[in-house]
Amino acid sequence: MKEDIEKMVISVVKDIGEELGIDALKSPSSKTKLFGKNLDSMGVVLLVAEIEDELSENFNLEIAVADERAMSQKTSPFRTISSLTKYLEVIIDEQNH
Amino acid sequence: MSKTISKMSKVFIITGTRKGIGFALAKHYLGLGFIVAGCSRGLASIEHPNYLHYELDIVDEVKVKNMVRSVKKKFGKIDVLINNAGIAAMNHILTSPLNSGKKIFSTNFFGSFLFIREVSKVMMRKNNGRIVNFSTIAAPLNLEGEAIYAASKSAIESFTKIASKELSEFGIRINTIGPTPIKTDLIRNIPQNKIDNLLAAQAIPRLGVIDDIVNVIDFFINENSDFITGQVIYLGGVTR
Repeated sequence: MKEDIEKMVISVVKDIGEELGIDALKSPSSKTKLFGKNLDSMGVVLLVAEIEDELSENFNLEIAVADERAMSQKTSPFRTISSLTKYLEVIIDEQNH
Repeated sequence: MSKTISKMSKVFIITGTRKGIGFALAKHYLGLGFIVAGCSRGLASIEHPNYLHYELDIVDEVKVKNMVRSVKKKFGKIDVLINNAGIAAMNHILTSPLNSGKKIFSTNFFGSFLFIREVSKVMMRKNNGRIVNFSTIAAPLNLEGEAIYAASKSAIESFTKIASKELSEFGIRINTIGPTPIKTDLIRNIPQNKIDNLLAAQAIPRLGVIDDIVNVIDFFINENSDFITGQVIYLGGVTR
């Protein structure tokens, strides 16, 4: 599951990198930095919308990817692809229990 | 998909379409040839080839997400969101139960918030969208007996103003209408003397009609209103 989620996040980030013309996001890996480095708050909003679409269409999950720490520079789950993947695992797990 | 539905037609989501203002608005925009997706806690009261009904409570996050996603899948876009669903209540603060206060805020504020959040995610893809929220003249008039109701609508007004800034770069315009009382179920239980006092506080002292509301909404959603966002328009000449 973790691999599938990370793969999905990497694919979404790559699309956003190409759409917004952000070079650092065009060949992303788990260590790629997102919010605070390569994505601003508007970029995060776009990322959230894309990830929710992917979760619905390919994982059959209706989850609000919303978090009170979303816009925190220090603790946002959107800081890196790795932290976002971990965060998604947690909320998907919560939804399933 | 119905043959009468064209992909080019504007797609509306209107909440609270079972009766009252929401029902009338849905009928109006269907009559103009638009597609309307409506919702209420009960079954549909509108039968029309271009009308889709979703039975849900507007504070049920998962159901709201499912409805918005379903409309997006069917039509590929959402042009207009009208956050009409709401509940009113008259009570003295000292005799207001906490639960009824929570229920009013939940429907009037959080329901609108959920629809705005979810529909905006669809509108931002097209870099275009119009959102209209509902306040009330009870807010600017600070009407006694309507503290919780008016507070929930004041929250909508603040939300509208900030959302207009956060959503503007996605081409989304968001405004609020503050109607006077009109003859709907919401004012059925309000004593006549209260209504008379309320009308006396308006610059134009009469009850509103649906067309008064339609007129303001038409202005907000008009393509020429691209420079209009974050505004609250009250009917009847009421001002803040």
